[in-house]
Amino acid sequence: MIIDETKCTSCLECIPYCPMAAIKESDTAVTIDLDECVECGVCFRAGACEVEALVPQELTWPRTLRAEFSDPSAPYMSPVFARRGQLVTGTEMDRRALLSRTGVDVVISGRGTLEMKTNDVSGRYRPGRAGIAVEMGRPGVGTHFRDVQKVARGLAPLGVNFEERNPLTDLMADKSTGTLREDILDEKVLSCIIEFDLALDMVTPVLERLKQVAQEIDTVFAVDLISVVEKDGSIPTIEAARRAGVAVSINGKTNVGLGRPLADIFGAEPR
Amino acid sequence: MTHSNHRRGNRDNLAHDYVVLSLPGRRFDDLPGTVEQFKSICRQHGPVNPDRLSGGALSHFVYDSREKVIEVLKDLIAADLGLSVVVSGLFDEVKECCHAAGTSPHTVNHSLGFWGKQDKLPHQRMLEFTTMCGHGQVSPNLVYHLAKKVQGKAMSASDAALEMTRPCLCNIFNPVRAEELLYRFLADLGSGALSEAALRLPAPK
Repeated sequence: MIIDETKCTSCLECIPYCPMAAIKESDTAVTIDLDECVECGVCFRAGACEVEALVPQELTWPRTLRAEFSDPSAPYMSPVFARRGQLVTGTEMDRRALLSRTGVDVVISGRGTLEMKTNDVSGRYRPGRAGIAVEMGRPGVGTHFRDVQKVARGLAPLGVNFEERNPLTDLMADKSTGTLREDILDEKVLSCIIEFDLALDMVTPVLERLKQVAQEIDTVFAVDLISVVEKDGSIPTIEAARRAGVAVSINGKTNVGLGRPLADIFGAEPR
Repeated sequence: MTHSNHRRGNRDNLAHDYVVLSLPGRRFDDLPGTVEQFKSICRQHGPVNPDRLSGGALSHFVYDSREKVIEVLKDLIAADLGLSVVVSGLFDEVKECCHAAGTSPHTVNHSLGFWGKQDKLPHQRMLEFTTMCGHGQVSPNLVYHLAKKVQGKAMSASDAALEMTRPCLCNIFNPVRAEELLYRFLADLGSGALSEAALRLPAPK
């Protein structure tokens, strides 16, 4: 986002809306620190500027990733072009139209996958397994991909399987090591999610490793722990977290089992 | 997405904060009709978030009481739409709502809190507001700015809470809870129980 200085009246109304505090007042004008701006579009959508001085500029790769990870309304698609070696320019609508004309489906969207939301139907998480999501940059601090790589690299040696349909996994140059593409490491985003499922007995060591890597990064992350509810009502991941010295929240998300057809998560695992 | 999983607060103020969302699992051919039915059912039970989202398969509704959640679940069970439904809220309360309505928890997602450079986070009292938008679209500076307007009587608390909902594109920000939090926030600022210096608001570099 940029500010058209010919229009800006320095009313300062836009400043509070920026989640990254990237809009600042100087002696002569209001400016946006483009290193800190994550292209989330909040300031623009707020409609706080009465003179339309906020201008969403054309984004090129890899800065396109800032919008695609920080603006919930922006689809994840510029890496499709980047992989094909195409110059990524134009507006979001241009890029969508180009993808549509060439018949390329954008199969990944959002910051993460459906994970547990449809587990009653998908059966993705079953007894004996768990899911972990590491929400880099949340809540509201933001993260550089350089820090995301530190966490991913810290987890990869434990044999975690990064979720294929997660947009961050799509940006990995080497999934076996958690190494991201070199050209994106300096980009900052509001958040992105490292997502994987794992055997239940790996939850404790993974959480212990996460505690270690958390000390190596210059941001924060939120951690999610997903589990099915056993037939007796117990939730095995709670004990696994306790063994790592981690307390679980009193509030969170519950899939209430209304999806149909119901997956047989207690039967044999489908091939 | 995990964006409704880290709503910070204490048991008291979280007891008025439930998010109900639906997603289709496999029945994509039935998608348009069932999603609209879901929305219609949810709208009948007094959601407190502004009805802004329209279209799309992902629908969110926010409620301020477990009684409303029970009634929503009862109607969804009776309608048998086949959509997956997720309720965000206090786990023990949601479990009781499920049983009262005639279903049971299937899969759960616990928050394990915030790790890393925690001195980069604003004060917990700010997080109670801002974590109601899990995508980080509601800035602590905006919350503070609006709180000061309320304090200066330039804006009502209800209008300030409603203004906080606007950046949240997924529409899961709870304005009723935000208004309650605002009153307590301003009372504590006024009494000195909470200092402005302790808020750790983000500042330009």
